[in-house]
Amino acid sequence: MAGASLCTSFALNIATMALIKHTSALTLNVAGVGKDLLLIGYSVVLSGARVSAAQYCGYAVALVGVTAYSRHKRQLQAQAQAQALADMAEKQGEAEEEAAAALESGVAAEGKDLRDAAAVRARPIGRGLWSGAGARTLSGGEFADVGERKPLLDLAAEEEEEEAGEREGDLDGPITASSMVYYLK
Amino acid sequence: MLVLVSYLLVQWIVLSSGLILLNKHILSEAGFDFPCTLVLLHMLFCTACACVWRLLDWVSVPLLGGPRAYCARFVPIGLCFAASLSLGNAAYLHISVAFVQMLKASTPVATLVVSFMLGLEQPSWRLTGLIVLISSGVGIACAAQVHPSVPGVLLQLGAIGCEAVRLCLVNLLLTLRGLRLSPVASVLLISPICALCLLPVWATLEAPRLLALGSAPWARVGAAALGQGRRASPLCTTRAGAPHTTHACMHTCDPSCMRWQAPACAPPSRSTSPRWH
Repeated sequence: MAGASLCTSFALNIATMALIKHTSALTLNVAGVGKDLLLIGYSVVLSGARVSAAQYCGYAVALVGVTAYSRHKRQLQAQAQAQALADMAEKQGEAEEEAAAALESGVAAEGKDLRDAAAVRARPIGRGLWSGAGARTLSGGEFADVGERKPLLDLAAEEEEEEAGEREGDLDGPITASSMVYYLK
Repeated sequence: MLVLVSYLLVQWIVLSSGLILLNKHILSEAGFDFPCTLVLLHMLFCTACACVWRLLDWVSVPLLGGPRAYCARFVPIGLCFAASLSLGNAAYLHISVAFVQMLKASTPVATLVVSFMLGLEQPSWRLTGLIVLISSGVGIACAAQVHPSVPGVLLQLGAIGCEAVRLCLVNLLLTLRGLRLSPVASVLLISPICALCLLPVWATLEAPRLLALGSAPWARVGAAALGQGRRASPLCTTRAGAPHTTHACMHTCDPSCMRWQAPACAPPSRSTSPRWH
């Protein structure tokens, strides 16, 4: 029994990792609420917890609030994502101009390097957005905050990650976006 | 894609609610009333598993810039996490899973309040309205509880408070500095610290009682597992590979199985030696 609990706690971390990788914030919020309802149902129907009608009403009110809060957080996150993408596109544009200028001034050989460096500089750093609503799903030993979604600019940064992966090794200053690349084989 | 997502969702829901129910069962029904010990075991086991994961190179851990930077970031988080888990587990000794879930709905409120205090978020009418809405809902649920247990509620609220502080610290110390960790990397970095933080607490609060009782508490949780394992499938207890273990665990903690298992291990003071030796 204790062993099962131990195994489940680690397996849950793996499951959370896979889920974060493949789903959206909305799905996760809904799943969290669904799980809570399921647990309450189980506890009432099968293990005889006593819950009064007034309590269900109170919980329903709280759920409305929690859902509104998750929605608010998602909107903020979407805004920040759009903003970050716009910033990145802008910087990318600048980088291309720089590269073009470099080519024109005759340093054609170094042009590519310059462009690469600019692209690295333009790599977005994770914004401090988070969703406390996911915290409700904490259980036993789950480390990921399910409200804490996959990296904001996962899609945009994906291509860069490939090349960034090789450069990670010689990085020993403050942590930057390129060092947070993780994957599950 | 749809199939994959729904599989992952079901798996996550089964595992996370299974873990809550298992912990509740171990602590309250099987009579293993040592919440801190349970968290300590979880942390040690998770550290071991994460180390294996690391050795197999299935997870990449970002460079952290020396032990000092590591401690400055992860010790506060680990401390809050350990406190939150232990308090939350201790609450299961007093109140039902349904009531705990209802109380947990107030986590966003606690998180918002802490992030206002830390200046991570600016108070606004909208957020204040949400705080009032959620806390009045939870307040009603709390006031209408049939058998209210004051220590249980206080423990759970303490757990929620610690959890809120932890979330804000994660935001402040990791996310805002551009560091995002996968769950397994977080396990690897945080659970050893949790275990270390818990060790003194465990040694003062639970170790003397646990040692005085000898093998009796272990027999209670162990016997229940063995009983279930025997009923479930002989394969479950013998396979050791990670995916199989996961599968076996999900099988072993099947709620329907757990329910009629409960009476078999109910009286706490029945036997002192494990019957299955």
